[in-house]
Amino acid sequence: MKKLFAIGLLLLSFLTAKAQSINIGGYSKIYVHPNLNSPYNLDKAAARLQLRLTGNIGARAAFYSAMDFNYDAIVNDSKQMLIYPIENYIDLYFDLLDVRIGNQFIFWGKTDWVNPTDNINPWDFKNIAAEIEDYRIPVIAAKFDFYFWENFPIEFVWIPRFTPNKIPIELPGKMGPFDVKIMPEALPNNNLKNSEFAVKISSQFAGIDYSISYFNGFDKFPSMFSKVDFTSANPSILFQCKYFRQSVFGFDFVTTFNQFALKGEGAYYLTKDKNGKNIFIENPHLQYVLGVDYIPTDKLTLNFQFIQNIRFKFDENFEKSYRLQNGIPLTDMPKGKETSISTMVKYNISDFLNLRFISVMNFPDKDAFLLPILNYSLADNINVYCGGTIFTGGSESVFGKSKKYSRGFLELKYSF
Amino acid sequence: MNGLFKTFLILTLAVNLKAQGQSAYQIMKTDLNKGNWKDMVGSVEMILINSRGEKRVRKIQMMNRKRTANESDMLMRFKYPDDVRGTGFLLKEHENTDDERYLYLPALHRIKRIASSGKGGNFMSSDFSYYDIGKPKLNDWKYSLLGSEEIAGHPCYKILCMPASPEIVDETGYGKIIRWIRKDIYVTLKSVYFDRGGQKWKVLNVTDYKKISGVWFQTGMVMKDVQNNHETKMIFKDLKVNTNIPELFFTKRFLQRGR
Repeated sequence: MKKLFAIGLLLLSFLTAKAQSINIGGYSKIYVHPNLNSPYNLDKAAARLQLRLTGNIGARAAFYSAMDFNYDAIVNDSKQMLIYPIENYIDLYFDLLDVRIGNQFIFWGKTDWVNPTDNINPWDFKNIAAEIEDYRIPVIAAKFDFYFWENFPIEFVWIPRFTPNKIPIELPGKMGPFDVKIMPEALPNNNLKNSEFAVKISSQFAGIDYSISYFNGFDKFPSMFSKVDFTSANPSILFQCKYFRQSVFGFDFVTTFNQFALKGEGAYYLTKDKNGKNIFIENPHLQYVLGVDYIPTDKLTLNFQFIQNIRFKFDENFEKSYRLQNGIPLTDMPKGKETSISTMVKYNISDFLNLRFISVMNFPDKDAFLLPILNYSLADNINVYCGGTIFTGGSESVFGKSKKYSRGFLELKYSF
Repeated sequence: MNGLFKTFLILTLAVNLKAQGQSAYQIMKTDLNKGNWKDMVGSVEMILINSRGEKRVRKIQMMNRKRTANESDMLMRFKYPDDVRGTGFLLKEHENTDDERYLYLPALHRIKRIASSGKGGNFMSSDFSYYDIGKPKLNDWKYSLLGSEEIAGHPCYKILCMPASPEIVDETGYGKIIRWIRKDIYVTLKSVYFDRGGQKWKVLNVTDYKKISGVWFQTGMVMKDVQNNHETKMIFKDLKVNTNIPELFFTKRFLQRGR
């Protein structure tokens, strides 16, 4: 990592020297994140400076580099002051090809918040916060946009190294008579065979923008394997996260009609467990989202989405009996079909004040994720954000499990 | 005899009205079609002022081109304030179908196709609507000449514009518009916009206009929403006309380059 950092710095110095125009920008902010569960401790009381350097080298090349310097007063260890790169890449423009190489974000999909075709950048579920770099992780990738056919741009992405999602994993110290042990996660070897790639073809027909896509890489969610270990004096259950390759076939579209935008996105995930007989590995499944945006007035934007995940080759009885026989808790057992809705309301209360309210609700568990954000513009470039990331629902539901991560946020941000 | 006189009077009035109508139409046609610009590029500064006098500034780099006689493309990039710098907007107007609107969000490197709140919808939270900043379509309105008046010492034609169809009212939100067009150079110096209920809604005053590459452009405007007591000043700078902007600049490919 240090080597990469040094190479990056060297490259940046070279590019800066060569650049015809350089812009420095970024933001600084101070922020507090109070936990919304008793005793309402502060999860974060921090300050951050993000520096962005952008430049052009002639008409055919450009670069972008962003670094975060974050100080968190709540943290008492070596992570109190963190300096870390965000995106750092070079752009090359040719007549029929655009290339971007480096650490970058590549987000696919046309729906909001839930994107079945978006499988390139991992999530940091430990840190859902206001900035994109808090909850998404940039990856080193080479992205090629081909424009051989005017109406059919082709995007090809190669990701040499797999990065998994960051997920809070919490297990009880004991399960029945067994101690619980978590083994180090088994990451795929870092070699060419384990690199990932994705391709997307976009077009337009009869006023409808659409694309078809394919991703071949690893499921960024781990498969949690468990086994009982009788070799030690105290028998224990060993848990280990493993990652498996999958193919994802995606499709998305959007069109507009007066004040409405209709959009949809779906992906079929062909996983390693093709027959649904391995309860540790995700079954083949189809996830799709159908949504509508409606803009009744300049001040108000509404969005509604229907989301469904359908698991194929899923046998609930088999799943249940296997779990019971092997002492695996039923609480995390998947379902054959999962249905959610998401909504977004954006209301510009005045020139200076706007409200956004995003929610995702699961049925029939009736658990939800809520994200209200109130933004007040104190002056040009100075904003105050106030809101919360709120998880609700039963303790065994998807969002209910994360209840203890519910937190508010108050941020004062200056952009430059 | 009385009947014949009445018929003559009606016919004369009709002919006069038609002549006057044509004249107003011709004036508007000359105003809208003056010069032969194909594309333009420049920067725009918008100052939004609310009823309490509080101001917000927006700076935008803007490119515009006529694709056909009644269709145009527009690309905008926000330059200021810095929290939205790099945000891009591409508008592709279509005569017979819905316009395409794409928003580029730099943090996500993502282009989002967005619905419109109608052409009567506000342009970037200002008091100008998308319709106001676009080129008005001549046949959207029916024109009559109300007479002559002076604006800032310049003799102007005073033209009444009535919507040609109920759809235009729905699209623009305007029940009628009165325009003052400078007689010698055919530049609109003032417009008053009325809502569909006939109430005065917005007043446009043109504060500056320049001849660039042989074409007169309004380079300074103040639009005041008298109903909400809110106003927007719009100042065009570094305006260049007919520079042959490549077609690439009005594509999603260029929009997502973000610079």
